[in-house]
Amino acid sequence: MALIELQHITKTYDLGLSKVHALRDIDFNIEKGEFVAIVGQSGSGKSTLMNILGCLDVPTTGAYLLGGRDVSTLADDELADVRNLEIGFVFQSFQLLPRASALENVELPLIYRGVSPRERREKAKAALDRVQLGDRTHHKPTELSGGQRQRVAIARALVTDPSLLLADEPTGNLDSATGEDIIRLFLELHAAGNTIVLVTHEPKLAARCPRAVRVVDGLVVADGEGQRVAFENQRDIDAAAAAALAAQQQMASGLSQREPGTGAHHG
Amino acid sequence: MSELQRSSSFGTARPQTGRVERFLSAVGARRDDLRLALQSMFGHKLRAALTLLGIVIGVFTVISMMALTQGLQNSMNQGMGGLGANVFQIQKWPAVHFGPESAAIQKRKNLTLAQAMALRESLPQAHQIGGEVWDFGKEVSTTENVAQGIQVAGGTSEFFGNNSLPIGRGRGFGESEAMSGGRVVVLGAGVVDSLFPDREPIGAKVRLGHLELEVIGIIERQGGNPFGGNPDNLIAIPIGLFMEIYGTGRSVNITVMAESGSNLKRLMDQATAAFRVVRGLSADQDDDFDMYSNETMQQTFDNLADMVKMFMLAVCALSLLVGGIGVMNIMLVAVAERTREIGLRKALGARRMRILMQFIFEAVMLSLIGGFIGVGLGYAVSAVVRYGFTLPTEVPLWAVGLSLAVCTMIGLVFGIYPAARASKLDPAVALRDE
Ligand SMILES: Nc1ncnc2c1ncn2[C@@H]1O[C@H](COP(=O)(O)OP(=O)(O)OP(=O)(O)O)[C@@H](O)[C@H]1O
Ligand SMILES: [Mg+2]
Repeated sequence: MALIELQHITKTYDLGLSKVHALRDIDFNIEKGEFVAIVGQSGSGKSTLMNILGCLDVPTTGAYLLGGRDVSTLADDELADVRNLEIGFVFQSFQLLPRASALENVELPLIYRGVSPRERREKAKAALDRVQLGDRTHHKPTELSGGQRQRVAIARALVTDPSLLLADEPTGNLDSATGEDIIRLFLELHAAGNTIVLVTHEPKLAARCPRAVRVVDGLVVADGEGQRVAFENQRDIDAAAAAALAAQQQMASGLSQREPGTGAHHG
Repeated sequence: MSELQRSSSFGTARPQTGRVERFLSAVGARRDDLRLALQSMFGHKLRAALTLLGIVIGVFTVISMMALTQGLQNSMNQGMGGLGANVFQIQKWPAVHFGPESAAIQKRKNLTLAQAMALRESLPQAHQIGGEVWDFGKEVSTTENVAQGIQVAGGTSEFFGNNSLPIGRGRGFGESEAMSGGRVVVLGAGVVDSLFPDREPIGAKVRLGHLELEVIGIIERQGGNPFGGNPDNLIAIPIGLFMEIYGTGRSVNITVMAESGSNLKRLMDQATAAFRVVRGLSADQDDDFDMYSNETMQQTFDNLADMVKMFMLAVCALSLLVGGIGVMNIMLVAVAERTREIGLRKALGARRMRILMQFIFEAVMLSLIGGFIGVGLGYAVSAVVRYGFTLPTEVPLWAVGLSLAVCTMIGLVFGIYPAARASKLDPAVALRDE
């Protein structure tokens, strides 16, 4: 049985006057131990999908089986329990508590699990060691670099030993070298047996994952080996860019033909 | 396969099955909430301090007013000494007063021993009438020991009866001894303790000022209240002797004892009329003396205390309401500011109840801190009045307890709405908040 089974998931945001179909018939599985990139352009529905995978939100229709259990119809507090026990989140903007130390930040999910303070401390220290921050336990987030902050966040996601690690644009706020460190860390965690879903709009990142799922307008348009999906994605982006450029040039020339007097100003 | 085993224990891995575990985890939860609350509060010291002003003022008012009221009560108890149930006193000054006296009262002439004697003549229906003069902080010594801070009363022979200070051993001074100023003294039990720890006092000599006096009696031990002056640290000497030592500049207090079983109130009215004649007042002049008995004093005080309490309640209720709204406001701001934090906590598995608890806890801590500051300020004012104005103020513990309990209530009541708002936030939306 797959760790994750998405069965005809849709998500519709009802804005009163209009409806946004953020996800339309998403249907794929993720096995335990996989490292999957979800790639797609801005607004394609990646974060919506991740919110559902992370039990932060429930689908409008369809079923989501996590570890064989349907979690798409659970109530708030039940979802909270599932998140606490099964999911580790890594966010683009780190989401650390600014006044708490690295250690306290990492302890947070264990507090909600009801773990004793002493055990919490030990586990949090171990998790920080695992992301090479064992010597920064008492630093506040403001006293850490961006890459270090993201590693604290990863330690926080790991400390509960979740069955699924979810990362939404984890390198989005980092420079490329630091982003590279974080990606390597994810690859290491994958090698150690963790199941990871990484949301990104960068084909280059998706290419480094064993598997990539490409979402366009709330639909899965490609699902396969990371490099291939990323390549197609990049090719489409380039083609779209070329088309846009051509259209722009055509429009510019069209304008200058019709209105030669004002064309110079636009040029 | 381990994944399957995991999933079968879904939702039960949390320690939520047993009652005991749930209780323990709840206690643990509160300790963490406390830490989180303190953390976030000290991040916004100034804002917290400003919004707490209402609570601080409310609690401060209660505590300081209660301390003052209690101080008045204590001072009244001391001032009345043991004025007997059927005794009243005529004196120059009002028995209870605040601040400087009015000009009319300032102009009053001293009451004299002669006027006391004149009243005796014109009020024969009274059982007995005495005169007395007081001074404080005197030193009495024997060749071996010294007693300091002693109250000295100069009295007529009625002194002991009218003040309910019965002679335990020996005797009091008689009428002629009192008037002529015999060199005798009656000691309070506390003075005996200091001066004659291991020797018979009666018949011995003590020194007061430049005079040597013979101890003729000892007043029964009174066992003072713990706040005011000790009524056992007292000596009584003949009023004539008192004036010989300290001069005649002091106003004499006149004590009147009614026949037992007679109507004290009526006697007071008769005494007022008689004493007006003694004082030479015409019909259109106000009394230039005050008169009180235990009972009238109690009434005066009770009226005063009631006024103070009403005022206090009004100020307190108003400022606590303001304080409560302040707490609600600061908590709503906190919830808005920390939307992302709340989203994160929910993402990490905090249930609604936990978020609710956290914010209610913060609100309670906040208003309790305001309460503690108010209590502290109240104690400070009490101390200032006690040492600066020598009113024996005392902060009643029940007022402290009540204030802090009310603060807790305010935190709970006004914290619930913001906390509920926080707990209902949708984590997916809250996390997106920039
Ligand atoms: N809470 C919401 N209410 C209404 N519409 C929403 C909501 N959340 C997302 N949407 C809409 O759903 C669509 C998908 O949004 P989503 O955030 O999933 O995109 P995304 O792929 O994560 O984009 P990006 O790369 O910019 O993060 C968008 O059109 C968005 O406007
Ligand atoms: Mg997104």
